[in-house]
Amino acid sequence: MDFVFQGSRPIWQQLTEQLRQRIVTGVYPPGSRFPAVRELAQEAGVNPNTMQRAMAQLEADGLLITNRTQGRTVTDQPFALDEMRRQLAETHIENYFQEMKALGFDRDAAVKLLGEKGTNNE
Amino acid sequence: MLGKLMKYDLRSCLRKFWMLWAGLAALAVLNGYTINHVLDNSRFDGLLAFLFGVLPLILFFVLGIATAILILVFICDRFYKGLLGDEGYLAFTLPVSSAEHIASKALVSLILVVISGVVVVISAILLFSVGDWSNFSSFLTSAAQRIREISWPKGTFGLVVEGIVFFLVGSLAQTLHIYLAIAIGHLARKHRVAYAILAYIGINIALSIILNIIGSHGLSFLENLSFFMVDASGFHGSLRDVLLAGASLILSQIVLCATFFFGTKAILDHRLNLE
Amino acid sequence: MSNELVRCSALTRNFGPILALDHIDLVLEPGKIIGLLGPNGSGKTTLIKIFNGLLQPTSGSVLIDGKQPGPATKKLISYLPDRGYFPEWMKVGDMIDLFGDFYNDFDRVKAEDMCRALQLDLALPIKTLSKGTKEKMQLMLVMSRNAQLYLLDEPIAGVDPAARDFIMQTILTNYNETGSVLISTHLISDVEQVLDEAVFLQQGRVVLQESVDSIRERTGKSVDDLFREMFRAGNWEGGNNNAR
Repeated sequence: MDFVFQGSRPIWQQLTEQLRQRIVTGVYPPGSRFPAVRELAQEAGVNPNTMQRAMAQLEADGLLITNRTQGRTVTDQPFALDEMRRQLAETHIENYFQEMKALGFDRDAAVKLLGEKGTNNE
Repeated sequence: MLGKLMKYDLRSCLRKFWMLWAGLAALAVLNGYTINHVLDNSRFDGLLAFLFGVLPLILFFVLGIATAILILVFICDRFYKGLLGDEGYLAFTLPVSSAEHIASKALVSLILVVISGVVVVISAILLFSVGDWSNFSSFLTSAAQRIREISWPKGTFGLVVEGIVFFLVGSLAQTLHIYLAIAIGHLARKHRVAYAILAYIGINIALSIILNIIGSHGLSFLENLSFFMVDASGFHGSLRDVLLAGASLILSQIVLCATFFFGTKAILDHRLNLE
Repeated sequence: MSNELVRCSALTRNFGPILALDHIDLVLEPGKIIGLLGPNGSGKTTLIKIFNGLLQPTSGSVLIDGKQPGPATKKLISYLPDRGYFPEWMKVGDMIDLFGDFYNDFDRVKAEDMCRALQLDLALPIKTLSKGTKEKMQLMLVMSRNAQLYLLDEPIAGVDPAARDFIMQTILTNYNETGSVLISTHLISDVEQVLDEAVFLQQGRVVLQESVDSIRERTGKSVDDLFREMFRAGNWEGGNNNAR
C-alpha cells in the first residue's frame, strides 16, 4: 500500500490522515511496535521532519504511545481506536452529504437513497 | 595532505611513462647487443646491417626525444586538465590548499624528469656494455683509475653539487613557469590555450628585460661568467668567485620558482572560474 | 553548533556585465533538506560554487559554519556537481580510496555496501561505465560521507524516472541528519515531498524562502504549482543563460 500525496496541503497533514487510517484498519495492530521515524519516512519517501510532525499529531490523538525504552507503540486502548474510527467515519459521511448536495440531493434525500442502497445490497 | 596528493599524481604519471622507460632500456639492450656482436659478423652486410645496426639506433634516439616531448606534454596536460578542466571540480573541493596542489604537480613533474634522466643514463650504459661486458668493465676501471689520479681543483665537488642543484631547481622553475602561463591563460573567458601560450612568451620577454636591467647595473658575477671557463691551465679566477657565481645562479632560479609559484597560487585562489 | 550553517551577506557575483548573484542575504540552518529552486540561469550553480570555494564573490561574503570558504570548510561539505569529474585512469575502487584518503568523515563500509547494491564492481575502470551508472557512482561517493552540508547540483536532471526515485531514496536514506542538504533543481515536483524548505532564486535574487508546509498552508498550492505561477514566462524578462 503506497502513500499518496496531493500538492495543495501540507504533507504532514496528509500523512497523519493516512496513518490514522492504517492504524484504525489494523495495518498497524493495537499494541504493536510502530516503525521508527526514519524508517517510515524512507518508506513514504518524505522528509524525516515531516514524518516526525505527523507522528507527534498521532500521539496527540492518543493513537501512538511513546515509551522511552520501547519507542513508539500503537495504543491498545479500544476507546482511543473506536473514537478515531468514529471520527473518520463521520468525515466520510460528511463528504458523502457534501457531494450529494452538489448533485442536487438534500440531506433527507441522500439518507433515503442510502437506505435503499443498503437494503438492496444485503 | 601533500603526500596524498603526490601519491595520486605520481600514479597517474607512472602509468603513462613506465612503458616508455621500459622501451628505452629494451632498445638500449638490443642496440648494445647488435652493435657489439652483429655488426662485426661479415654475414650481415648492406640491408641487414642497416636493419639490425642503424635502425634500432635511430629508434633509440627517436624514443629518447619522444620522452622529452612527452614529459613536456604531461606537465602541461596534467595542470591544465587536472586542475582547470572538469577534474578541477574534484581537485578544488578536496580539503587541500591551492599551494599544495601546485606543489604536488610540480614535484611530481620534477621526479618525472629525474627518473627519465636516470633511465637515459642507464640505457646509455647498457648500450655500450651489453654483449661486450669485459671490454666495458675494463674501460670503466681504467677510467675510474685515471679520474682518481687527476688532482682536481679543490672546489670541483662543490661545483658538481651546485650543477645538480641548479638542474633540479631550474627544472622546477621551468615547470612553474608553464603553470603560471596556463593560469594566466585561465583568466580569459575564451581562447584560454592561446592566451596561455602568449603568457608563456610574455613571461620570457619580461625575464629577459629584467635580466638586461640587472646586467646594466653591473652585478659583476653575473656578467663575468668567463670566470669559470676552463682551459688547460685550470680555472680562471678564484674558486670562491666561481662557487659564488654558481650559487647566485641557483638563487636566481629559486627566486623565479617563488615568483611563479605565488603568482599561480594567487590566480587559483582569487580568480578560479571553472566551466 | 550555531543555528547558521550557511550565512550569505550581500553576496554578489558578476561575470563581466552579467550579474549572476545580486546582494543575496540568506541563512541556511542545520538539520534541514532545502530546495534551491529556480529557472536555468537564475544563479543556482553560481551560488553553490561560491559555497564550495570554486568561485570567489565579487563583493559581500559567505560563511560556512562561521568560516570563510577554504580547506576547513571543504572538509564539511560533500558536493555533487552537475558533471563528471573523475581522473580518466581511475577505477571505482580508486575513487573510494581517494575519498577515504582525503575525507575523515568518509564511511568506507557504507560506500562498499552501496556499490554492492548498485552492482558496481570496484575493479571497473570508470570510463567504461554508462552515464547513468557514473552518476549513481558519484552520488554513492557523496552520500557515503557524514558531511555537515551536502550540496547537490541538479542530482536528477537528465535521468530517467526510475533512477530519480532511486536517487531521492538514496539521499533520504543516507544523509547526516545533523547536517543539511541543499538540492538545486528545476524539477520541483520530484523533490518536493522531501523538502523542509524552499528557496526560490530568480535572476540572482532570493524571491522566497519559506518552509514547504507553510507554503502549502498559506497558498493551498504545492511548491511546484507556486513556482510555475511565479515564474510563468510572462512574469519575468527571460532568464540569463550565460550566468551559471
